[in-house]
Amino acid sequence: MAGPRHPDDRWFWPAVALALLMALGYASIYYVEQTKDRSFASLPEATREELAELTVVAEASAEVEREWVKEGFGGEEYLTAPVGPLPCAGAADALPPRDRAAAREAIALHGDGDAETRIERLSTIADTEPDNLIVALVFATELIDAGRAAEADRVISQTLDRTQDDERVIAAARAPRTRLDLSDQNVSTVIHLHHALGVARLGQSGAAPPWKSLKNVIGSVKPLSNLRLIGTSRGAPSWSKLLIAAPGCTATGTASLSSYDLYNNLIAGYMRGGRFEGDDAMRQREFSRPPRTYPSPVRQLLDAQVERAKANGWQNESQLWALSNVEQLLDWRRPDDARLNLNAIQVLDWWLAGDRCPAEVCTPELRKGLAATKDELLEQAFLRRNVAPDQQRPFAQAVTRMLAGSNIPRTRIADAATAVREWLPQSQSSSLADLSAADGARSELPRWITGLAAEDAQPPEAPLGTRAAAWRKAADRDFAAAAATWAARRSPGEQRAVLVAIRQLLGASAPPKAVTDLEAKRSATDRLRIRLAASKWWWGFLAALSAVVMALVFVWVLVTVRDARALRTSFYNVELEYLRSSDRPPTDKDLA
Amino acid sequence: MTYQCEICGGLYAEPWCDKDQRELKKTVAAPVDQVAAAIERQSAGLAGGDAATPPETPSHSSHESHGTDGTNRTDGTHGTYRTEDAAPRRVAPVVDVPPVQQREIGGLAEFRSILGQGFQAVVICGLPQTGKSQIVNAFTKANTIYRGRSQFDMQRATLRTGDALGGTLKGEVWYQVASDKHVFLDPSGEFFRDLSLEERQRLRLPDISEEYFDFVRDAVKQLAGIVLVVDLFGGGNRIDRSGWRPQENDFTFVLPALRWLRFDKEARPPEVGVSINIAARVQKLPKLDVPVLVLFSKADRLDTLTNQQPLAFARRSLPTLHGALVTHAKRFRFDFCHTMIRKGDGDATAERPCGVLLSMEWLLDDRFRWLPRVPATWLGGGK
Repeated sequence: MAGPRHPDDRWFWPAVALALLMALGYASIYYVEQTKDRSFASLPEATREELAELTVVAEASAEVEREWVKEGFGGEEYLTAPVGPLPCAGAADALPPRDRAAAREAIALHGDGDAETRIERLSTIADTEPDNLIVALVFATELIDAGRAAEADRVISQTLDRTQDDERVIAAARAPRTRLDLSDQNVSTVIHLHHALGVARLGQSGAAPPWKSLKNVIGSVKPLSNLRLIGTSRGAPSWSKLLIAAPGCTATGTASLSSYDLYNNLIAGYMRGGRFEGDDAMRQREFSRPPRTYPSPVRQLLDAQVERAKANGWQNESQLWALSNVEQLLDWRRPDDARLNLNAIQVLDWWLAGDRCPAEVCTPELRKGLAATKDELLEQAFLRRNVAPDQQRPFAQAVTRMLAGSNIPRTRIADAATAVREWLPQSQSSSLADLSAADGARSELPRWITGLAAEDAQPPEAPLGTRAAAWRKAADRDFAAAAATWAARRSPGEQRAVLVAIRQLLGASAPPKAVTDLEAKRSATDRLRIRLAASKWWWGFLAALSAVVMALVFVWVLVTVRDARALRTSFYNVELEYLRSSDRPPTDKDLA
Repeated sequence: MTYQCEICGGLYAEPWCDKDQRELKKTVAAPVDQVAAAIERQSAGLAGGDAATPPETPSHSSHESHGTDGTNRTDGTHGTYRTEDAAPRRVAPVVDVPPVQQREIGGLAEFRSILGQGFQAVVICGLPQTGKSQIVNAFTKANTIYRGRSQFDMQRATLRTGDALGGTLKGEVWYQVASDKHVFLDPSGEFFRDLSLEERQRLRLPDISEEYFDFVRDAVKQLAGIVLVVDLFGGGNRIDRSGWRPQENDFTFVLPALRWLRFDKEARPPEVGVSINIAARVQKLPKLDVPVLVLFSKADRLDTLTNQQPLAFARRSLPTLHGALVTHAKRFRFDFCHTMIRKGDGDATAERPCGVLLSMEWLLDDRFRWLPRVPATWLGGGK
């Protein structure tokens, strides 16, 4: 500023700036200290140690994680098992002599030329031998592999219409003291043929319902399977499938049709079509089961849903049959089949969704039990992941989606998840990686919140990148629920300190029920005090207020000192000094 | 008939200026001559036994019985103005004061419109020829020269010469925009002379009416500060201590009057005169909440006087003025200034005025006006 200056300006304005800075600094320190003193990190060492060891149940954070896989990770899609392998050459030998030549010719076409040529020739053979089951099986298998499901359906249907052999075999297999076995060639032929028919019908829309053929084979396979399962431990995972070799072949290798494939497609058929209706006798046979002292959660769900179906006119009967088959499968053992596990989870989810399972049926205990069952199935699906190459991507998408809603410790499936990630497109692969990272972050979170993490450690949510902030907010809520549950068993003083820390951690977020339940035990005044003590806004307001008051006092003192000095100062002399010291222009006197 | 000296501004009953020893030709316009005429008429009526003689008012009797210098002036022997037929011991009667408000105050309407735009007023107070207008002009000039805040002088009625600035015409107000928030109100010194109880007593004029404050009434409602200009030379060429007293006495009334105008919301009882009403009520009113700056003008000619601390000088040499400030103002300060320099026998406008800029900046500084301020008396400015 040019010209004479107020003599006190030299110190006054710097002093005002210093006073404001001091007030601001005090407010910052005050705010940090007050909020820090009420955080989890300021709790007593022993308390923090215990809180750091809490297991955080993923609820809010799981909800956030489900959002990551909400789009593009498939929906209610049921993976179907493919058609079985082609018969081996030996299959022809078991046929009547008049059928052998055609069967041998059909089998011999395997791998000969392209698919269209083979289909042409098989069509010619089938025309000459319309009731030859082996020829029909080879022909239909070729058609299904070529994506011509409707033609395959027609070929098999016409063949089965011309012969009663399949019905005789099925009836014999169901006989109580049957001598048949799954390795029997006739049994194998009938099972493969009906399975192929089911696949053909599942592969086309508007076709006849697939369940008749699928039920037929299950009807024969079930008793034969039971024969094989005698002597094994119920409930224990079986790593051996009930393989059903193709006619004339030995049951080895993953290409063999398994009993799980049959069940899988039947369940898929029930769920996809959704129009199956049984009669009273069929329902009686299907749903009447011996009572259990300790029924599994799935059994409890089935029994409850059957009772509801009886009351409401058998609504959703088709899905009920699917649930019944899932229950039977799980009652034997956990299927060693990733595809079947996946579909079983989807059947359970279907029955748990919305109002299909009212609260009086799906109690929290039942839901918890079913969640554990689903977690087992999902873990098994991850670990086995034995699906056909063309189903790897939908399988990976589905299990990723399910993983987000599960409570599986993701470290247990870390390697499997890495392998499954390879099946996902690049854009989705990171979601599965984030799900794995989130689980680790969740377990690290208590130590971080309580201030027991290493000083140079990064925030646990850091690996989640752009998803970190939203996930952390939800995870804080989960930790708050765990901490409130823990505090409920502690002294009132500890409860109060934990409640303040929880409220501070959550900020403006709605607290979980465990927190509000714990707060409800305290008086309204105390609750208000807790909210104020925990509120960063409150401490910010007090800090700002104290800063303003301090700044006002400082400035007031400075202004008063300046006023007092100005009262005794001669500005005239100040200006006169300035005029004398400055280069003044020539005055009139000078000019004169 | 009343005559006014064009040099010293004094009012005389006869065409002769005692102070400047010169013959007077110019008669005075209202209110003084009108009031005097009214007094003459009233006196004539009294002499003729007019039954319409109004009763003596306490206010008037107060003024009559106690002069500002403590002498009894009821006989009118110390007054310059004297009515022809006035009985020596008769108290001056209460007269119907001519309607002063009917007289148009030049420039006031425009000033009011400026106030209507949100400006705050700084009222420059002082008797005629004390240098009020020069101080305003000097601030404008210093602001331009030193602060780079150029402002042009508002055009006033009297012509500005090469050496000196014209003053505000009698009976008018002049104004100068000081900043985007402040405007100076520079009334003619005669307004303050008319308010002077001493002068009125000397002229045996009746009590003032509320219309006398019209020139400053609106400004007081939007007040930013008050400047009291004291000419230590009293209009002459030498320091005239006898000339300080009238100025002190004038401000002794002006300050409470401004305080009363600013804060008193109650209607005056019709039987109580204005000056008595002010005296009775002002102590109950808040002190003036705007800073008051007392400037001793023409400091270039004060020699060693300016070496003194202005506050100490005021306390010692102008105790009445200092006491008035202590009584009526929360914040005040004193300072010297000069806006003219001696040039031959006369004065010329100084190229670089001194003592105006910082004092006016102190007055106009409203950066901490919101802060409760310690009264100047607590800071050692009191008695």
